[in-house]
Amino acid sequence: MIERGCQSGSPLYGRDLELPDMDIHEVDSDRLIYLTESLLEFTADYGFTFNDITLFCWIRQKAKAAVEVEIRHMAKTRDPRMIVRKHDDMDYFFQITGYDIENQIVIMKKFPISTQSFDRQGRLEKAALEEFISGKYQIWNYRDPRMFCVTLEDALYTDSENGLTNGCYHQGG
Amino acid sequence: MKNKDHVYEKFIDFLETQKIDINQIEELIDARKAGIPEFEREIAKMQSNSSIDYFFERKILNEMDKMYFCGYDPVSKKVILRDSTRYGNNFELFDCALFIFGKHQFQPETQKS
Repeated sequence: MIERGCQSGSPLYGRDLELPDMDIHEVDSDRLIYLTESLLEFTADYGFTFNDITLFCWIRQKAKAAVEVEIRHMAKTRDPRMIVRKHDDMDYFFQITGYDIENQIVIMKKFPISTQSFDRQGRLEKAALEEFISGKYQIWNYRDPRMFCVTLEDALYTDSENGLTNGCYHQGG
Repeated sequence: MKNKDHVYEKFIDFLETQKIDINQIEELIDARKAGIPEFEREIAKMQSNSSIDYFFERKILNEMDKMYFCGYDPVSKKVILRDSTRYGNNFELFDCALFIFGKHQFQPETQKS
């Protein structure tokens, strides 16, 4: 299902949206053992434990929900004050035009930053929701010119304020 | 601004390299969590019966090596094992997931006198 843009003032604004359930399917034990061994090798390389990864995934779910709500709002309202930038390529900006909920793909139009107004001929690009959570793509609010996107790192800091540890994710960097 | 070396990016790189979807990791975590209570009951049984040594075998360099159960850390969920080889005793920590998913299975050895 793809959400297309609609008029501003969408009733979805500011509401927690019902997110799709995680796709759980059976995995055989050989696959689980392979995954476990791969994950343990990774955690050993960076000095983590399995518990760190568990906490990491839990916080990621929170960040994902927050980012997804924002993206769905942007896809519906196409608020020109809200744009997307790519952290390693500031010469362009993106307007979110749709969101593929099922595959968690963000559909955007890409414009040079010198563009004075949105051009309908902008090139279509797609990005995975994951790339927003990791901070590769960032949502900017020009009305309130600070980075608006809630990323995993933001979620970690939020949880830190609530008394949960966050330091482990900054080790080994 | 994000640090290029941020661990999150490393984790994503790891998933991409291994062709693992993060949903699979979450599924793995859920399966491990679901198996912990039963695993810990087995551990408690082994700990309560001090007259029996528990071990499993693993193959290293074409030799079968016995790994003996020594203890369990309920915080990290790791099993403490003694590796009894002709080179002497070594201790190793194994994550409980390797037992929960059936990679290793303990079996009783001999009755202590």
